[in-house]
Amino acid sequence: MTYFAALLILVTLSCFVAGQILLKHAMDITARENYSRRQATMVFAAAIAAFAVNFFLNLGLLQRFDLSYFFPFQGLSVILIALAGAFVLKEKLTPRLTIGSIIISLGVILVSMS
Amino acid sequence: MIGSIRRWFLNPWLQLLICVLLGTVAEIFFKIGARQTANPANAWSWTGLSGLRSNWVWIGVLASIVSLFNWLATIRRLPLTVAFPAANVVHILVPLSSWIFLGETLSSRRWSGIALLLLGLLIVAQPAAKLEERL
Repeated sequence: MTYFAALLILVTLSCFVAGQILLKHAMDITARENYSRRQATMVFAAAIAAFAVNFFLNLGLLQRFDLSYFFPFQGLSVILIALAGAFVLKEKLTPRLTIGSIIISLGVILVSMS
Repeated sequence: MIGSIRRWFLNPWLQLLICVLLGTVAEIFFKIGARQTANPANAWSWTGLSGLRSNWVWIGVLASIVSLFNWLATIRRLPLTVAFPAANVVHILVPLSSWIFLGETLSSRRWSGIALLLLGLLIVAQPAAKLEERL
């Protein structure tokens, strides 16, 4: 794997994490009473934009690697999203959820090292 | 009657199940399409744009769009710290599907990773089950 491929995987991953956080934020906005439809749409559009970049970089990676080889790298997002959910979205992150998320991430790393 | 069917269908766990199944189908279709259109010699191939020439990719896009709505229905009801780790069951489904449908090989290390993922999912599932009781 070249540095360029590693960078592409990193950018793809970051777009994915940002997209998920923005999407959940948009859904949280719509759950409020008297929410601003314009604000929810803007956040939702930003999430879709992040996913769109993720999609095309993903397709480019697929043209070079086996799906079962590089797809698991996205699993590193488990830890990142659990942390972002707790710190950015102020969700509750119990010790059990943290341990479960770390084990899931380790499982994903093990799969990706194959 | 319709209300109870609607509530049953909008259960976040059912939505999550449909979401991960469609997500797996989409990835397999993307790979079939990418395999047909791959041309690594082209300097612009990293953008993935040439993949759009394959119908498999477009069917995958359709499955992805539907699964996005299932995901929205899921995170509307569940916190991301629970829903996202649980959604990682795709990291079991995708390698298994690559093995079954694409003929890719899975090493013993990859199989143990799948076993570890199962363990992690079981650990996450327990507080998630408690959460369901509160819903």
